[in-house]
Amino acid sequence: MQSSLDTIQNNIDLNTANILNKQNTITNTTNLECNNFNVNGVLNIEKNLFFDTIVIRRPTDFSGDFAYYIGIRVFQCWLNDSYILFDNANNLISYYTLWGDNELPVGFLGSSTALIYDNTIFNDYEVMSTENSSDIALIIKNIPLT
Amino acid sequence: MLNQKSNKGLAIELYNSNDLTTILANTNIITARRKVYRFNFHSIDTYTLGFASVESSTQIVIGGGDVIEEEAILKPFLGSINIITEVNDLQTLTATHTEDLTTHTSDILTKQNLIKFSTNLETNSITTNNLESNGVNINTTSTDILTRLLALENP
Repeated sequence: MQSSLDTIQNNIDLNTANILNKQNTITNTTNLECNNFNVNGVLNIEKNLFFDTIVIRRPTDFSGDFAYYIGIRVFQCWLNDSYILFDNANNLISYYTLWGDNELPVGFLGSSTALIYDNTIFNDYEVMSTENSSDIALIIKNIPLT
Repeated sequence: MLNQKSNKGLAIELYNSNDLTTILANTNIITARRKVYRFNFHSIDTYTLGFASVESSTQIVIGGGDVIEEEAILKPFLGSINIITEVNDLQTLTATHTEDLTTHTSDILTKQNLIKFSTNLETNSITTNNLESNGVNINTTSTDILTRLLALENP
């Protein structure tokens, strides 16, 4: 393996020297600024690397006692000096669910799960799940891709 | 900011809704009861609105006291590692990369060198709206050629 690594190193050194004489390559980390951007084929934007969903749950089923309720007073997510949950509150979808069947909402105390991002901070919880299950989760969807 | 009676064991996970099985980022599991939890990503350094000493709806709260502050985790859990398997895989990768590098060396030598002021170019054709040599614009329109001919006839 050492011999192989030495060969690789020599090749890398040679390539490095050669590359320095070449026009820079555009990679997926390059920031581009240009006058016109023409694409003859397909332009693909990988959106799955961005998040649009926040989940609060107990991934190890641990709660420290007999209860598994999730009670939240306020949930903030800041991005570029903006509180993006509050700013996009009208478009968000939030609900309590059991993670194993996370499309199905389950019950909770409080008038709306949207209260946790209404930017009003209470001393006690604004919403609280009523399912005493270690699988309980709170999901916030439809966040602008971030 | 959580209800203190029920916060142990909780973690925050970020997903793309197209795939709720792949965690893009997450926090550690909460192990201590506090009133407020703050989880930072790297870009916290770009935040400019200042930090609040108490819970705030307009600023990020500062850590300490009843506020736990931690770094969020960008990479998902990788699972257990078998060293022998990893070394064997590395050996295979090393051989593959040696071949790749040889190919790359060959490929690189066929590419255009960096074009700079001292580069001499030879090509099949050049199309441009403006061409200058030694500061003189080389204009080849018919009007310009006629002007030059007239200048030669009538010095």
